[in-house]
Amino acid sequence: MLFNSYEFIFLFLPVTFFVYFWLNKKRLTQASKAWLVFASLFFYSWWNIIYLPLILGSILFNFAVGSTISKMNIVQKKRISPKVMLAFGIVSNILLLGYFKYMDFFIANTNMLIGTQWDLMHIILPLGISFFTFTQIAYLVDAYRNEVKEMDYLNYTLFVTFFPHLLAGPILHHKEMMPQFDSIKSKAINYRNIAAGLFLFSIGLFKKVVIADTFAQWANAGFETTQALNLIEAWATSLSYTFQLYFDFSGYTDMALGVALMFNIRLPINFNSPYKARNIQDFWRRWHITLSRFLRDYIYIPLGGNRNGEFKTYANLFTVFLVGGLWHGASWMFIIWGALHGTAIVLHRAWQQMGLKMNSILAWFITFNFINITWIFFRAKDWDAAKNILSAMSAGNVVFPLGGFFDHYCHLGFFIFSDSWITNINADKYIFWYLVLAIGITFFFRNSHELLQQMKLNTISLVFFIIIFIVSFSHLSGVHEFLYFNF
Amino acid sequence: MLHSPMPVRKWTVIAISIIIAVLSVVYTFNYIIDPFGSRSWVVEQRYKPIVKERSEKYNYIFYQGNIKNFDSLIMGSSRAMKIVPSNHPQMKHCYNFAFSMASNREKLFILNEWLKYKTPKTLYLGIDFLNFHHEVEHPNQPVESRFIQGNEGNYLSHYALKMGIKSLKNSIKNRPETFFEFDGSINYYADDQRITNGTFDFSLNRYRTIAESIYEERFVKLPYRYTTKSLDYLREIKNLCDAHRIKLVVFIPPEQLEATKMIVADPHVYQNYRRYKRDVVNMFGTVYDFSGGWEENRNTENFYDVWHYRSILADKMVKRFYGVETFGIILTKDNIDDYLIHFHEKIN
Repeated sequence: MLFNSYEFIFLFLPVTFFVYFWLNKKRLTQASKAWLVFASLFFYSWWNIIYLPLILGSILFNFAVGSTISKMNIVQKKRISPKVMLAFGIVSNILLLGYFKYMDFFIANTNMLIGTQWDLMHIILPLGISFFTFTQIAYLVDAYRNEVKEMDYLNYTLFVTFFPHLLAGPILHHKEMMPQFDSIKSKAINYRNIAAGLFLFSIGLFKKVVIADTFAQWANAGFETTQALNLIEAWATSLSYTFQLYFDFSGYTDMALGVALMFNIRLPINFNSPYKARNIQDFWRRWHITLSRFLRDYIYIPLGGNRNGEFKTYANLFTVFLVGGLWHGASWMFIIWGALHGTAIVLHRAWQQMGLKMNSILAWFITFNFINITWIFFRAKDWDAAKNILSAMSAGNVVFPLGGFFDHYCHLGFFIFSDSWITNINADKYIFWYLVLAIGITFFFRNSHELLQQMKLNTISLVFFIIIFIVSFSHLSGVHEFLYFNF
Repeated sequence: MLHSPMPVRKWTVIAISIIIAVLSVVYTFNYIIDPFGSRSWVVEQRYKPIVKERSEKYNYIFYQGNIKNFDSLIMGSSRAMKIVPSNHPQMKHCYNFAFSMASNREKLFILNEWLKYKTPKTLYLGIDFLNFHHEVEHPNQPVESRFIQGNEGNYLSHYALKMGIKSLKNSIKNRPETFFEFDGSINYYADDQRITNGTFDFSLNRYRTIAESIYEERFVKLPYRYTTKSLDYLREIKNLCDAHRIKLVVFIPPEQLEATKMIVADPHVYQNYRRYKRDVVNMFGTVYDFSGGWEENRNTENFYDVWHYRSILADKMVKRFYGVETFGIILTKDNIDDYLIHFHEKIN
């Protein structure tokens, strides 16, 4: 089920909300948790019920392994060490993820490398598998580190399946969620949280259906016709995707955080104005924050972090970004994207080590353009498509018509681009104003969390919320999936 | 006042109440007006605008299940939309699935969609010169989304509200719109009214001006580049028809002579114009060509504008398909060269 769908907004959310708080009001707290689990599994199964046993099996397995590790930490005499048990749990999770996500990639590359003729399995990726697998690997590691304080199956299932974060994150820590589910404060309706949740949800909805879906049509058209793009179309395509991805994913996260807040649950923020970043490290502290946190805590630090000399640190950083790239999907394009970011982060660290400084505007400009260019690898279906766009961006056909230029293209003193320059991406000349607006919103406006923190309950915020919600709602007709559902 | 704090409960209740109230009003208004549907409680069909031709026809045939009423179909651009199947006993069960700027890839897509449900008896396939214009045809863009994308029947959308208001305004001012008949043919209601009232401008100057502006728009701003990709889609259509034993009637619709003159006057465009006709004839063997210097195409009263003919010509075309008219020519591999050699002479 999508957050930006009528069935979610009109039926699922109100029914889940009222039944949950009604059960809590009757002091049926276990029943209320069971209800949230049931609702979350229903939410998950709405897409395709055949994957329900998969997620349930994964939860049962990880709970059993996690509980065993925790017990092993307490009992001194044991046949198997907790470390072996942890390795077993992690490997099993990776095998599950590997089967569904990387099997065809593995087969295709094996066929190519050693000339085998194995048929592709065409496995459909179960929704949210990357997210719930990573969440549970984190749980196993926390259990090994003795950071898991309680072992209740219902609570654990709720932690993994809680519908706001189930499909596309944020990626959670067991310890930051469980106290909230048990807190007495979370059992009663809290109007301040409802207001804040609605406010955040409506901003997320606006980002998704009004902004991201508008850029999506141009980005999709551009990436479908990479060979034909001229200079302007290529830049418009890459920038459209850069903004689509940001508004899509951060919109989803805002909605997830907003919905969770209505249930008195605070999820960690995932975005903090990433395109304002002035270097690549800063970017990764602002973009998909919970994934960065996971990669840092569960890959970078276990690899040794920065404790084993400069060269090993560089190697660790690079490895983390390769894994991050591969996590997004089974394609060489994601690996290339990860490698580019890994290289950039290594260069940035070396730059810092040398004590060099850069003008902050120039630093921002370089960072933003690097991110914009690397998103092309992230989105393009193959190397040739990425190369086509990059070559068009750097030395593509310049289409400025010279004859009668001012007669045709300057109106009312404003410089207006001609529609005929952007026919391949199905856009009209207003795309440029949309891009300017997106740049303005992204660089100069407060992000949704800053807005939420400064939100005052008065007539102005009320009118703002109602307008944002109704405008977004009226754009729901063409329901589009969130990009991060693909990962 | 605007900045004074509001109790949180009051803020929340007011916000939710206003949203529910506004959405209820919008839905009720759109449901009653029904800008995309067939309910005529307040606004008659003729006042409702055609919104998205592709999805409107697609929904009507496939989602609403009206395919069961038809055994044949017409495909082509807006220049095939004026053929009214219900006017002709031979085409009584034919649906006109033409839409503006239809590409050959889109035609192939529709035929494939139709074949998922049933095999048509006859396919009347209209082909245009613009189908071979690279900048217009966009062969690499996905077509499915153009038909399936969006749901115009969603009465909570701002678009439905906009169209509902427009329909109501048209109704109040008695200003009918262009709309589709049940057989898919287009009804240029407003233009037909002006023709009946004698206020429609049939002057040659008007047609010449339109021809010049279209030429400027389609062939100067977007320099003509011949695309052979279009032929691939036509070949697939032909193969499907052969495989399913569908009778295929291929035609090139008429255009007012001023439009043809603009094409012939430009050597580059004219060269490609001849190439396209030769390629189409070579592929299909037999093609009804209604364009060119026929008397019917000289008479402005047979056209709304240089590209869009009136039903008087559409009727003649259908009669020609059934051998009771002499309008146009049947092109074959035997006569195409001779025809193209003398084409420009007849224009002038």
